[in-house]
Amino acid sequence: MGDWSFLGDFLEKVHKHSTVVGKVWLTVLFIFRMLVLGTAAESSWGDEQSDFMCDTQQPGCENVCYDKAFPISHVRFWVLQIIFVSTPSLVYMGHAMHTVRMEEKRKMKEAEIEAREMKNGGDKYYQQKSSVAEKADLSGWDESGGQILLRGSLLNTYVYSILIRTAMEVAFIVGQYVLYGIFLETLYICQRAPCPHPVNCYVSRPTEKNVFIVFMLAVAVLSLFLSLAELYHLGWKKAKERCSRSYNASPSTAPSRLESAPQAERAQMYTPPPDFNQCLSTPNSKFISPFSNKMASQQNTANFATERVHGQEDAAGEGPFIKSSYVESPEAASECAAPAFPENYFNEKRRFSKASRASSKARSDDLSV
Amino acid sequence: MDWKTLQTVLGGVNKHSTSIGKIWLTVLFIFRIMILVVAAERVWGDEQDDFVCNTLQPGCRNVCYDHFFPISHIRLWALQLIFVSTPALLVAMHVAYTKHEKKRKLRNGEKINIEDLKNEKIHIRGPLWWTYTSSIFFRVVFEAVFMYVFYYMYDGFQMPRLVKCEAWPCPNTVDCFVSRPTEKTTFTIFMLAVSGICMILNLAELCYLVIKICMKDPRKTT
Repeated sequence: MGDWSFLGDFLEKVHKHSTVVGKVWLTVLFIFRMLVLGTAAESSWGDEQSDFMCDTQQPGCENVCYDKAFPISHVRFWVLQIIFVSTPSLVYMGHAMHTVRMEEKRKMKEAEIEAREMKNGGDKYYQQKSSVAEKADLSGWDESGGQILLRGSLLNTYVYSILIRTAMEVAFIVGQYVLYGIFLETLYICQRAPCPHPVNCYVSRPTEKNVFIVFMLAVAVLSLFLSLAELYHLGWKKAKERCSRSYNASPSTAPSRLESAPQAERAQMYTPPPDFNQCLSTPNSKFISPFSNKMASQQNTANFATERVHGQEDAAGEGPFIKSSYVESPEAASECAAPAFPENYFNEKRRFSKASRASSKARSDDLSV
Repeated sequence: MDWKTLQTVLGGVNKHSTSIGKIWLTVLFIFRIMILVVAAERVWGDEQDDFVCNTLQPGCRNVCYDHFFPISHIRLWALQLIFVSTPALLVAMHVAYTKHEKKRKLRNGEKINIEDLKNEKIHIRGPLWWTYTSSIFFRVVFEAVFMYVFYYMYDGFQMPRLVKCEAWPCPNTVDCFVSRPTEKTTFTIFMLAVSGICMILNLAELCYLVIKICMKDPRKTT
């Protein structure tokens, strides 16, 4: 049995920095491909050449006929498939590790700045710290959770790795079909020197091999679907956030007054709102006018503080972003769900908005945090 | 073959390598050692049993096999991997020596934080730079030498299907058929390609180190 631990160790690290669908894909890879290959398929193909019998006494005829029938054995083909399909994830992991290292350097730099400025006097300290913090947001590091957030260049790398992985998967499935078709025949008729004439050759264990071939093909197709699902989900999220960003940027009357204070921050942060649809459907102008902007923006700041922490916990239970999550944009949510609304109105709406659940105002039907 | 020991040793070196060095190590483990262990050893497993010669003369098959495969591809690759990994041990030894020196200073009373010492990232500067660069240089040399040995010993990188053997005690020119030639050619070319990639990575790392030291020197002198 081959030793897959070299690849296994690397992929364990990738596991930590993947989305939920990515983790499912990795599990499928480990259990249904590597394990099955290593334990069952290897022993089934073990005697593939020794029990490949040809109806001839001509020395060398069996060798050449086997070579013609199986230019590359199924098992080796699957080994190469697994390795090539895993390789893009390793590239992503390299980028993630690089991000981690950059983050560590940034933290060290921040600590230095802090130490220096505390000595010299406080003004510059806050400016520098906030600029360093902004860089952190853009680079994809979450302070509170201590995990890598999937956004910016890291998200791009992730998406490219999935695209390449999908392409490799398709290439190998097509390659397998081109080389062998789908099923193995029991009888192979061979005409090749030094065989004197067309010779009947019999494949060893064809039915058992067919079972494994179909199984591995099915798992490959499943992995392909998982990769496509992940791509779709990431693409959908990106499109949603782009729509909401363009909505935020468009000028409007009452809602735009609320946006004034946190607008600059929001523009710098690459964050999707929790529920784009809610923003569109709520007729904000009716409800915002009774309240002052100052109160709303104060509430926004308070919401921001709580939701930044709680957004991570919330995201932990939802969607594809367990370890890698989008930071919620509370201002975007709160402009659609202004803080001082009557409770009843928001019973339904708030259920869709993750951010409003973590609003600093305690409500009876809020989830406890 | 137990490659775990090599993995343990080289894993330690990984901490003090450049980024390119880390990529090289990953390529080495996944595309070379793993392929060797998981796939290639199976392909070459029955190379002598299924080496068939068109003769009934006892001993002819053995002699012909020995004549055409003085050292099996698998063993050559294993040697290549060991030789190519060995220079990294020089770096590991140098780093260990540096840490030992620092510990000695600590014992002699100089103030050095133990925690820092353990976690310290040793930068590639000074004598360590020379050790590291020469290790990469030797790596490149070993890769090139082994690639040439492969080419010379097997007349190219393709595994022939039929070899004609005249060694004694074969009575005449005898046809011998190699087992799984196409699969073996596929893996030979694959391993060759990966060796090439590793060589390119090593050359890139060498250039990077040289440029880094050249960039530093003008700043030092000014």
